[in-house]
Amino acid sequence: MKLWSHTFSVILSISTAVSMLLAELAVRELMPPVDLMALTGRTMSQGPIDRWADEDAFCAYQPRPGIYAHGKTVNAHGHMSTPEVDFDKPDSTVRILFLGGSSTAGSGFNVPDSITWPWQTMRRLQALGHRADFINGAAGGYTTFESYGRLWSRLRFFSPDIVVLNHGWNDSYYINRLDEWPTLWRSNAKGGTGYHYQEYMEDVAPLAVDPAIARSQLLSRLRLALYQRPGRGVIISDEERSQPIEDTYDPEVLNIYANNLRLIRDFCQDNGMELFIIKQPTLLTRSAVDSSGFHWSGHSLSADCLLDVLEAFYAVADTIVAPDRIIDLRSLSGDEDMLADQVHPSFEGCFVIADIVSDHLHAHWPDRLASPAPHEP
Amino acid sequence: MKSPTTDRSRSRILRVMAILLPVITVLALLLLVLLDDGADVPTTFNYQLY
Repeated sequence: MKLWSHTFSVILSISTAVSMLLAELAVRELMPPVDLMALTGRTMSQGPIDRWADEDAFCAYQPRPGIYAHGKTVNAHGHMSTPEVDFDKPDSTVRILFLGGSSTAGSGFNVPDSITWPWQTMRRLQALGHRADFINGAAGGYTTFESYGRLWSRLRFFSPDIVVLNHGWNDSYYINRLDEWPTLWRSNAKGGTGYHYQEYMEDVAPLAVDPAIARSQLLSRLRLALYQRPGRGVIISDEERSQPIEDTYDPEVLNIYANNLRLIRDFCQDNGMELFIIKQPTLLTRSAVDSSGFHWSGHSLSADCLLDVLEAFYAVADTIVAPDRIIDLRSLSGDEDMLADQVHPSFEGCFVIADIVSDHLHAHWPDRLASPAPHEP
Repeated sequence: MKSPTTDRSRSRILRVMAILLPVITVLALLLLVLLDDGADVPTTFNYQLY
Protein backbone atom coordinates (compact mmCIF):
# COMPACT_ATOMS: atom_id res chain seq x y z
CA MET A 1 0.00 0.00 0.00
CA LYS A 2 2.83 2.30 0.93
CA LEU A 3 4.52 1.59 -2.38
CA TRP A 4 1.26 2.32 -4.24
CA SER A 5 0.86 5.55 -2.40
CA HIS A 6 4.37 6.57 -3.36
CA THR A 7 3.81 5.60 -7.00
CA PHE A 8 0.47 7.45 -7.01
CA SER A 9 2.14 10.65 -5.74
CA VAL A 10 4.94 10.46 -8.29
CA ILE A 11 2.55 9.90 -11.21
CA LEU A 12 0.23 12.62 -9.91
CA SER A 13 3.11 15.09 -9.67
CA ILE A 14 4.44 14.29 -13.12
CA SER A 15 0.98 14.44 -14.66
CA THR A 16 0.25 17.77 -12.93
CA ALA A 17 3.54 19.27 -14.06
CA VAL A 18 3.13 18.11 -17.65
CA SER A 19 -0.51 19.30 -17.79
CA MET A 20 0.38 22.69 -16.36
CA LEU A 21 3.28 23.04 -18.75
CA LEU A 22 1.13 22.18 -21.76
CA ALA A 23 -1.64 24.54 -20.57
CA GLU A 24 0.91 27.32 -20.05
CA LEU A 25 2.19 26.79 -23.60
CA ALA A 26 -1.38 26.78 -24.92
CA VAL A 27 -2.21 30.09 -23.20
CA ARG A 28 0.98 31.68 -24.48
CA GLU A 29 0.20 30.47 -27.98
CA LEU A 30 -3.49 31.34 -28.04
CA MET A 31 -3.78 34.55 -26.00
CA PRO A 32 -1.99 37.89 -25.94
CA PRO A 33 0.37 38.21 -22.98
CA VAL A 34 -0.76 39.96 -19.80
CA ASP A 35 1.61 41.63 -17.37
CA LEU A 36 0.02 41.17 -13.98
CA MET A 37 2.61 43.34 -12.24
CA ALA A 38 1.91 46.25 -14.59
CA LEU A 39 -1.85 45.74 -14.50
CA THR A 40 -1.79 46.00 -10.72
CA GLY A 41 0.39 49.10 -10.73
CA ARG A 42 3.54 47.53 -9.24
CA THR A 43 5.64 48.18 -12.33
CA MET A 44 5.26 50.72 -15.09
CA SER A 45 2.90 49.56 -17.77
CA GLN A 46 3.94 49.21 -21.38
CA GLY A 47 2.58 52.72 -21.87
CA PRO A 48 -1.11 53.20 -21.27
CA ILE A 49 -1.83 55.04 -24.45
CA ASP A 50 0.27 52.64 -26.54
CA ARG A 51 -2.75 50.36 -26.29
CA TRP A 52 -4.92 52.63 -28.35
CA ALA A 53 -2.81 55.33 -29.99
CA ASP A 54 0.02 55.86 -32.44
CA GLU A 55 2.48 58.67 -31.99
CA ASP A 56 2.34 61.49 -34.48
CA ALA A 57 4.79 64.30 -34.96
CA PHE A 58 2.06 66.83 -35.82
CA CYS A 59 -0.44 66.15 -33.06
CA ALA A 60 1.60 64.13 -30.52
CA TYR A 61 -0.55 61.06 -31.07
CA GLN A 62 -3.54 59.81 -33.03
CA PRO A 63 -6.11 57.28 -31.84
CA ARG A 64 -5.55 53.88 -33.44
CA PRO A 65 -8.38 52.47 -35.58
CA GLY A 66 -10.37 49.83 -33.73
CA ILE A 67 -13.28 49.00 -31.47
CA TYR A 68 -12.76 49.72 -27.80
CA ALA A 69 -14.59 49.49 -24.49
CA HIS A 70 -17.64 51.56 -23.57
CA GLY A 71 -18.99 51.65 -27.12
CA LYS A 72 -16.07 53.71 -28.44
CA THR A 73 -14.69 53.25 -31.92
CA VAL A 74 -11.93 54.85 -33.95
CA ASN A 75 -12.48 54.83 -37.71
CA ALA A 76 -9.95 53.83 -40.35
CA HIS A 77 -8.49 57.35 -40.44
CA GLY A 78 -7.99 57.59 -36.67
CA HIS A 79 -11.09 59.70 -35.94
CA MET A 80 -12.64 58.84 -32.61
CA SER A 81 -16.42 58.33 -32.45
CA THR A 82 -16.84 59.09 -36.14
CA PRO A 83 -18.51 56.94 -38.82
CA GLU A 84 -16.22 55.88 -41.66
CA VAL A 85 -15.58 58.81 -44.01
CA ASP A 86 -13.91 59.11 -47.40
CA PHE A 87 -11.62 61.92 -48.45
CA ASP A 88 -14.18 62.86 -51.10
CA LYS A 89 -17.42 64.31 -49.80
CA PRO A 90 -20.71 63.15 -51.31
CA ASP A 91 -22.25 65.76 -53.62
CA SER A 92 -23.92 68.75 -51.92
CA THR A 93 -22.83 67.52 -48.52
CA VAL A 94 -21.48 69.94 -45.94
CA ARG A 95 -18.71 68.43 -43.86
CA ILE A 96 -18.25 69.58 -40.27
CA LEU A 97 -15.00 69.03 -38.43
CA PHE A 98 -14.99 69.09 -34.62
CA LEU A 99 -11.66 69.85 -32.94
CA GLY A 100 -10.91 69.70 -29.24
CA GLY A 101 -9.72 67.54 -26.36
CA SER A 102 -11.38 64.73 -24.46
CA SER A 103 -14.60 66.62 -23.80
CA THR A 104 -15.13 66.71 -27.57
CA ALA A 105 -13.84 63.18 -28.21
CA GLY A 106 -16.13 61.81 -25.49
CA SER A 107 -13.25 60.34 -23.49
CA GLY A 108 -11.89 61.19 -20.08
CA PHE A 109 -15.43 60.51 -18.99
CA ASN A 110 -16.16 57.87 -21.61
CA VAL A 111 -19.22 58.45 -23.72
CA PRO A 112 -20.40 55.93 -26.36
CA ASP A 113 -20.00 57.03 -29.97
CA SER A 114 -23.64 57.85 -30.59
CA ILE A 115 -23.96 59.92 -27.41
CA THR A 116 -20.95 62.19 -28.05
CA TRP A 117 -22.12 65.72 -28.66
CA PRO A 118 -20.58 66.03 -32.17
CA TRP A 119 -22.48 62.87 -33.21
CA GLN A 120 -25.68 64.22 -31.64
CA THR A 121 -25.14 67.62 -33.22
CA MET A 122 -24.99 65.95 -36.62
CA ARG A 123 -28.22 64.06 -35.96
CA ARG A 124 -29.98 67.29 -35.06
CA LEU A 125 -28.65 69.12 -38.12
CA GLN A 126 -29.74 66.27 -40.34
CA ALA A 127 -33.18 66.38 -38.71
CA LEU A 128 -33.26 70.11 -39.58
CA GLY A 129 -32.77 69.15 -43.22
CA HIS A 130 -29.04 69.71 -43.56
CA ARG A 131 -27.23 67.31 -45.81
CA ALA A 132 -24.09 66.99 -43.77
CA ASP A 133 -21.53 64.57 -42.41
CA PHE A 134 -18.85 65.05 -39.80
CA ILE A 135 -15.43 64.18 -38.47
CA ASN A 136 -14.57 64.20 -34.79
CA GLY A 137 -10.92 65.19 -34.95
CA ALA A 138 -10.55 65.53 -31.20
CA ALA A 139 -8.53 63.38 -28.81
CA GLY A 140 -7.82 63.49 -25.08
CA GLY A 141 -5.15 65.96 -24.07
CA TYR A 142 -5.14 67.86 -27.32
CA THR A 143 -4.57 71.59 -27.08
CA THR A 144 -4.74 74.14 -29.88
CA PHE A 145 -1.21 73.00 -30.82
CA GLU A 146 -2.34 69.43 -31.52
CA SER A 147 -5.58 70.50 -33.21
CA TYR A 148 -3.75 72.89 -35.51
CA GLY A 149 -1.12 70.24 -36.26
CA ARG A 150 -3.72 67.62 -37.10
CA LEU A 151 -5.80 70.06 -39.15
CA TRP A 152 -2.78 71.24 -41.10
CA SER A 153 -1.20 67.83 -41.64
CA ARG A 154 -4.17 65.52 -42.24
CA LEU A 155 -7.70 66.72 -41.63
CA ARG A 156 -7.55 69.31 -44.42
CA PHE A 157 -7.51 66.44 -46.94
CA PHE A 158 -11.10 65.67 -45.94
CA SER A 159 -12.14 69.15 -47.13
CA PRO A 160 -14.24 70.22 -44.15
CA ASP A 161 -16.58 73.19 -44.75
CA ILE A 162 -17.15 74.07 -41.10
CA VAL A 163 -14.68 73.75 -38.22
CA VAL A 164 -15.99 73.80 -34.64
CA LEU A 165 -13.17 74.37 -32.15
CA ASN A 166 -13.63 73.47 -28.48
CA HIS A 167 -10.51 74.34 -26.49
CA GLY A 168 -9.43 76.17 -23.36
CA TRP A 169 -9.14 73.70 -20.50
CA ASN A 170 -6.13 71.80 -21.87
CA ASP A 171 -4.40 74.91 -23.18
CA SER A 172 -4.30 76.27 -19.67
CA TYR A 173 -1.92 73.42 -18.74
CA TYR A 174 0.75 75.48 -20.46
CA ILE A 175 0.20 78.59 -18.44
CA ASN A 176 2.64 78.10 -15.58
CA ARG A 177 4.34 74.95 -16.82
CA LEU A 178 5.51 76.09 -20.17
CA ASP A 179 8.86 74.29 -19.96
CA GLU A 180 7.38 71.04 -18.82
CA TRP A 181 4.27 70.30 -20.83
CA PRO A 182 5.51 70.79 -24.37
CA THR A 183 8.52 68.66 -23.51
CA LEU A 184 6.33 65.94 -22.07
CA TRP A 185 4.25 65.87 -25.20
CA ARG A 186 7.14 65.92 -27.63
CA SER A 187 9.87 64.06 -25.84
CA ASN A 188 10.48 61.06 -28.06
CA ALA A 189 12.64 60.94 -31.15
CA LYS A 190 9.71 60.85 -33.55
CA GLY A 191 8.17 63.96 -32.07
CA GLY A 192 5.38 61.98 -30.42
CA THR A 193 4.12 62.14 -26.91
CA GLY A 194 6.35 61.18 -24.01
CA TYR A 195 3.36 59.97 -22.07
CA HIS A 196 4.20 56.43 -23.18
CA TYR A 197 6.92 55.93 -20.67
CA GLN A 198 5.99 57.19 -17.29
CA GLU A 199 2.79 55.90 -15.87
CA TYR A 200 2.11 53.51 -13.07
CA MET A 201 -1.41 52.32 -13.84
CA GLU A 202 -3.44 50.28 -11.41
CA ASP A 203 -5.99 48.90 -13.87
CA VAL A 204 -6.78 45.96 -11.60
CA ALA A 205 -6.92 45.94 -7.80
CA PRO A 206 -3.79 44.10 -6.58
CA LEU A 207 -3.67 40.81 -4.65
CA ALA A 208 -0.83 39.65 -2.41
CA VAL A 209 -0.37 36.53 -4.53
CA ASP A 210 0.32 38.47 -7.75
CA PRO A 211 4.13 38.65 -7.52
CA ALA A 212 4.28 34.88 -7.02
CA ILE A 213 2.21 34.00 -10.09
CA ALA A 214 3.05 36.87 -12.44
CA ARG A 215 5.62 34.86 -14.41
CA SER A 216 3.00 32.34 -15.46
CA GLN A 217 0.55 33.43 -18.14
CA LEU A 218 -1.76 30.57 -17.18
CA LEU A 219 -1.87 31.55 -13.51
CA SER A 220 -2.06 35.28 -14.33
CA ARG A 221 -5.00 34.65 -16.65
CA LEU A 222 -6.60 32.36 -14.12
CA ARG A 223 -6.28 34.99 -11.42
CA LEU A 224 -7.83 37.63 -13.69
CA ALA A 225 -10.63 35.26 -14.70
CA LEU A 226 -11.47 34.44 -11.08
CA TYR A 227 -10.83 37.80 -9.43
CA GLN A 228 -10.70 41.11 -11.23
CA ARG A 229 -11.76 44.33 -9.57
CA PRO A 230 -11.00 47.76 -11.04
CA GLY A 231 -7.95 49.48 -9.59
CA ARG A 232 -7.31 53.14 -8.89
CA GLY A 233 -6.20 54.02 -12.43
CA VAL A 234 -3.29 56.41 -12.73
CA ILE A 235 -1.22 56.36 -9.56
CA ILE A 236 -0.31 59.93 -8.80
CA SER A 237 2.98 60.20 -6.99
CA ASP A 238 3.40 62.20 -3.79
CA GLU A 239 5.74 64.46 -5.74
CA GLU A 240 3.01 65.24 -8.27
CA ARG A 241 0.47 65.81 -5.51
CA SER A 242 2.70 68.26 -3.76
CA GLN A 243 3.29 70.50 -6.77
CA PRO A 244 2.83 74.09 -5.74
CA ILE A 245 -0.47 75.63 -6.73
CA GLU A 246 -0.06 79.17 -7.96
CA ASP A 247 -2.48 82.06 -7.73
CA THR A 248 -1.09 84.20 -10.52
CA TYR A 249 -0.01 83.77 -14.10
CA ASP A 250 1.99 85.72 -16.60
CA PRO A 251 -0.52 87.28 -19.06
CA GLU A 252 2.17 87.11 -21.75
CA VAL A 253 1.52 83.39 -22.14
CA LEU A 254 -1.96 84.19 -23.45
CA ASN A 255 -0.15 85.02 -26.67
CA ILE A 256 0.40 81.31 -27.25
CA TYR A 257 -3.33 80.71 -27.26
CA ALA A 258 -3.98 83.82 -29.35
CA ASN A 259 -1.33 82.86 -31.91
CA ASN A 260 -2.68 79.32 -32.23
CA LEU A 261 -6.23 80.58 -32.70
CA ARG A 262 -5.02 83.01 -35.35
CA LEU A 263 -3.16 80.20 -37.13
CA ILE A 264 -6.29 78.05 -37.13
CA ARG A 265 -8.52 80.94 -38.22
CA ASP A 266 -6.20 81.97 -41.06
CA PHE A 267 -5.75 78.39 -42.18
CA CYS A 268 -9.52 77.95 -42.25
CA GLN A 269 -9.97 81.18 -44.21
CA ASP A 270 -7.33 80.22 -46.77
CA ASN A 271 -8.80 76.77 -47.25
CA GLY A 272 -12.49 77.64 -47.48
CA MET A 273 -13.50 76.54 -44.00
CA GLU A 274 -15.85 78.44 -41.69
CA LEU A 275 -14.57 78.56 -38.10
CA PHE A 276 -16.77 78.52 -34.99
CA ILE A 277 -15.22 78.69 -31.51
CA ILE A 278 -16.83 77.21 -28.40
CA LYS A 279 -16.46 78.61 -24.90
CA GLN A 280 -16.28 75.56 -22.63
CA PRO A 281 -18.36 75.08 -19.49
CA THR A 282 -16.79 73.83 -16.26
CA LEU A 283 -17.90 72.58 -12.86
CA LEU A 284 -14.94 74.33 -11.30
CA THR A 285 -16.01 77.09 -8.98
CA ARG A 286 -14.10 79.95 -7.50
CA SER A 287 -12.22 79.18 -4.30
CA ALA A 288 -12.62 75.44 -4.85
CA VAL A 289 -9.96 73.34 -3.13
CA ASP A 290 -8.18 70.61 -5.03
CA SER A 291 -8.21 67.87 -2.42
CA SER A 292 -8.29 64.96 -4.84
CA GLY A 293 -4.95 65.53 -6.54
CA PHE A 294 -6.97 65.02 -9.70
CA HIS A 295 -7.79 67.07 -12.75
CA TRP A 296 -6.90 70.66 -12.37
CA SER A 297 -3.91 70.01 -10.07
CA GLY A 298 -2.17 69.25 -13.38
CA HIS A 299 -2.50 72.90 -14.22
CA SER A 300 -0.66 73.89 -11.04
CA LEU A 301 -3.06 76.82 -10.85
CA SER A 302 -5.51 77.58 -8.10
CA ALA A 303 -9.17 77.31 -9.03
CA ASP A 304 -9.54 81.10 -9.07
CA CYS A 305 -6.46 81.49 -11.25
CA LEU A 306 -7.55 78.77 -13.68
CA LEU A 307 -10.98 80.37 -14.05
CA ASP A 308 -9.24 83.70 -14.70
CA VAL A 309 -7.14 82.02 -17.40
CA LEU A 310 -10.18 80.47 -19.05
CA GLU A 311 -11.96 83.82 -19.08
CA ALA A 312 -8.86 85.43 -20.56
CA PHE A 313 -8.76 82.73 -23.26
CA TYR A 314 -12.37 83.37 -24.15
CA ALA A 315 -11.73 87.11 -24.29
CA VAL A 316 -8.98 86.28 -26.79
CA ALA A 317 -11.43 84.17 -28.81
CA ASP A 318 -13.74 87.19 -29.05
CA THR A 319 -10.97 89.05 -30.87
CA ILE A 320 -10.34 86.19 -33.31
CA VAL A 321 -13.77 85.58 -34.82
CA ALA A 322 -17.02 87.53 -35.21
CA PRO A 323 -19.58 87.28 -32.36
CA ASP A 324 -21.85 85.02 -34.41
CA ARG A 325 -18.97 82.54 -34.67
CA ILE A 326 -18.78 82.13 -30.90
CA ILE A 327 -20.80 79.31 -29.34
CA ASP A 328 -20.98 79.99 -25.62
CA LEU A 329 -21.67 76.92 -23.50
CA ARG A 330 -20.85 78.57 -20.20
CA SER A 331 -24.52 78.65 -19.21
CA LEU A 332 -23.97 74.97 -18.37
CA SER A 333 -21.13 75.77 -15.95
CA GLY A 334 -21.71 74.58 -12.40
CA ASP A 335 -24.51 72.21 -13.41
CA GLU A 336 -23.68 68.72 -12.15
CA ASP A 337 -26.33 67.19 -14.41
CA MET A 338 -24.54 68.55 -17.45
CA LEU A 339 -20.95 67.81 -16.48
CA ALA A 340 -19.62 64.52 -15.15
CA ASP A 341 -16.57 66.25 -13.67
CA GLN A 342 -14.82 69.59 -13.96
CA VAL A 343 -14.78 69.56 -17.75
CA HIS A 344 -16.29 66.42 -19.33
CA PRO A 345 -19.95 66.46 -20.37
CA SER A 346 -22.28 63.84 -18.92
CA PHE A 347 -24.60 61.91 -21.23
CA GLU A 348 -27.32 64.48 -20.59
CA GLY A 349 -24.77 67.24 -21.08
CA CYS A 350 -23.91 65.84 -24.50
CA PHE A 351 -27.54 66.09 -25.58
CA VAL A 352 -27.90 69.66 -24.31
CA ILE A 353 -24.59 70.75 -25.86
CA ALA A 354 -25.71 69.19 -29.16
CA ASP A 355 -28.95 71.21 -28.94
CA ILE A 356 -27.05 74.45 -28.41
CA VAL A 357 -24.39 73.81 -31.04
CA SER A 358 -26.82 72.59 -33.70
CA ASP A 359 -29.19 75.50 -33.06
CA HIS A 360 -26.30 77.94 -33.35
CA LEU A 361 -24.91 76.38 -36.52
CA HIS A 362 -28.38 76.25 -38.05
CA ALA A 363 -29.06 79.87 -37.17
CA HIS A 364 -25.69 81.07 -38.48
CA TRP A 365 -25.32 78.64 -41.37
CA PRO A 366 -22.79 80.17 -43.76
CA ASP A 367 -24.57 81.50 -46.86
CA ARG A 368 -22.13 79.96 -49.30
CA LEU A 369 -22.84 76.43 -48.05
CA ALA A 370 -25.72 74.26 -49.19
CA SER A 371 -28.95 75.25 -47.45
CA PRO A 372 -31.05 72.70 -45.65
CA ALA A 373 -33.59 70.88 -47.78
CA PRO A 374 -37.14 72.06 -47.12
CA HIS A 375 -39.09 69.76 -44.86
CA GLU A 376 -41.66 67.49 -46.42
CA PRO A 377 -45.16 68.73 -45.55
CA MET B 1 -7.49 -11.82 2.12
CA LYS B 2 -7.13 -9.82 -1.07
CA SER B 3 -6.15 -11.57 -4.25
CA PRO B 4 -3.12 -10.35 -6.26
CA THR B 5 -5.47 -9.73 -9.18
CA THR B 6 -7.54 -7.28 -7.11
CA ASP B 7 -4.39 -5.51 -5.99
CA ARG B 8 -3.13 -5.16 -9.57
CA SER B 9 -6.51 -3.88 -10.70
CA ARG B 10 -6.64 -1.31 -7.89
CA SER B 11 -3.10 -0.24 -8.66
CA ARG B 12 -3.98 0.26 -12.33
CA ILE B 13 -7.04 2.32 -11.46
CA LEU B 14 -5.00 4.51 -9.12
CA ARG B 15 -2.36 5.07 -11.77
CA VAL B 16 -4.96 6.04 -14.35
CA MET B 17 -6.57 8.37 -11.81
CA ALA B 18 -3.20 9.91 -10.99
CA ILE B 19 -2.76 10.73 -14.64
CA LEU B 20 -6.29 11.79 -15.48
CA LEU B 21 -7.12 13.91 -12.43
CA PRO B 22 -4.55 16.65 -13.11
CA VAL B 23 -5.21 16.50 -16.84
CA ILE B 24 -8.95 17.02 -16.36
CA THR B 25 -8.44 19.70 -13.71
CA VAL B 26 -5.94 21.67 -15.78
CA LEU B 27 -8.10 21.29 -18.88
CA ALA B 28 -11.05 22.74 -16.96
CA LEU B 29 -8.91 25.65 -15.76
CA LEU B 30 -7.60 26.19 -19.27
CA LEU B 31 -11.12 26.27 -20.60
CA LEU B 32 -12.06 28.80 -17.91
CA VAL B 33 -9.16 31.00 -18.96
CA LEU B 34 -9.80 30.69 -22.70
CA LEU B 35 -13.50 31.39 -22.40
CA ASP B 36 -13.07 34.35 -20.06
CA ASP B 37 -13.47 37.51 -22.10
CA GLY B 38 -12.88 39.83 -19.16
CA ALA B 39 -9.24 39.03 -18.67
CA ASP B 40 -8.08 41.75 -21.03
CA VAL B 41 -8.46 45.09 -19.36
CA PRO B 42 -10.65 47.15 -21.66
CA THR B 43 -9.18 50.23 -23.20
CA THR B 44 -10.96 53.30 -21.97
CA PHE B 45 -9.01 56.23 -23.45
CA ASN B 46 -8.92 57.70 -19.98
CA TYR B 47 -5.28 57.72 -19.20
CA GLN B 48 -4.66 61.16 -17.77
CA LEU B 49 -5.40 62.81 -21.07
CA TYR B 50 -8.16 65.31 -20.73
